[in-house]
Amino acid sequence: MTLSLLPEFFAFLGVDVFVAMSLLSCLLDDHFPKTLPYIFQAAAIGGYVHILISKEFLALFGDYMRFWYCVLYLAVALANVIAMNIYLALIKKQWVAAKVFSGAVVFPAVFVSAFFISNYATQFAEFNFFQLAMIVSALVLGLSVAVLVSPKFLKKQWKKEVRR
Amino acid sequence: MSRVFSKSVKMLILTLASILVVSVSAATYYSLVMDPHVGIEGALIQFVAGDDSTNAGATGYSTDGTWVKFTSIKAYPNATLTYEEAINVSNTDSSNPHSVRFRPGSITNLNGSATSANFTKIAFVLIAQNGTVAISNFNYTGGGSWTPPSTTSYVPIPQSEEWTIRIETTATSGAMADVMVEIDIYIDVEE
Repeated sequence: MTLSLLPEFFAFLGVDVFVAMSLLSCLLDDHFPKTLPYIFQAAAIGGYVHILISKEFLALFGDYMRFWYCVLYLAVALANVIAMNIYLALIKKQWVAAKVFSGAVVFPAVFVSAFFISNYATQFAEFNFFQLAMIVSALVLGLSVAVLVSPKFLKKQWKKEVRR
Repeated sequence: MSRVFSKSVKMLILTLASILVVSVSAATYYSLVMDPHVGIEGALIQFVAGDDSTNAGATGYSTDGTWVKFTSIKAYPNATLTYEEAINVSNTDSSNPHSVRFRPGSITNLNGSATSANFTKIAFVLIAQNGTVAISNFNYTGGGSWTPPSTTSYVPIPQSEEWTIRIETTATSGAMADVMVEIDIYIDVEE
């Protein structure tokens, strides 16, 4: 028997994102404000309270309302991740770190969240994010392999575009 | 050195707090997922047609196999009429045996209070696939009033076996025609 996702899963995912951001901002404390890990930790505790309230008032809140306030919490968590990336790029002017951060943290976090939201949505509508994700992944993989095998080719193409 | 130590302590505290928050959140979510719910599935013990089901007027069993109504059971005066396979009971579970028992429900005279005096007995017998009688003491005895049987003991039906319910009816000598009685019996199943 398979268990379908509950809307509270998104709040739980948001808690995980906040906790991960808290630890990451503590590790990279030279790049971010000193108070940021504690703010994220408090936000994660807020997420737990969010799930707890949802559980206690399960009969009162409908599926629709539960879904939207949990997705909103997850969206806030992801917005914070993206904001950290923008902070690195624009405020700190650390382009390399920002690029690494977007590839290693922002993209996986947004991708995983989108995957679970689409998975939840397939319970109600015939939309399969997984197939779309596979196509996008195949394209990205193909481009990455091409760049890896011949990095100079990409540079040449880029220079040609600039000259034109 | 002190900065490294300070960072390590900060990291340790945040890690412990993170573990705590994620654990309690996961536990709360798990308690939501594990809320009890009821799923509908087919009955493991089902009524299926026997050789005499048509003669006995068995109806209703073909939909879910969970109930059967006999509309044409007859009784002859001073003779015993037997429906050898009035209905069969099938254990559809291919891996586990399940026990059944007979339990009396209501009995209603449809032609006034004199009806019971026209019957000697109406008996229900459960017979195993190998022909052994499993339940034999479930008899409604007629007379001035009906004497219903007691609830029987549970009898296990092995997996994937089909047993038979035999119905025996006897009316008294000189019994009136067209007297009718309605009997409800239950078959309890141990899952």
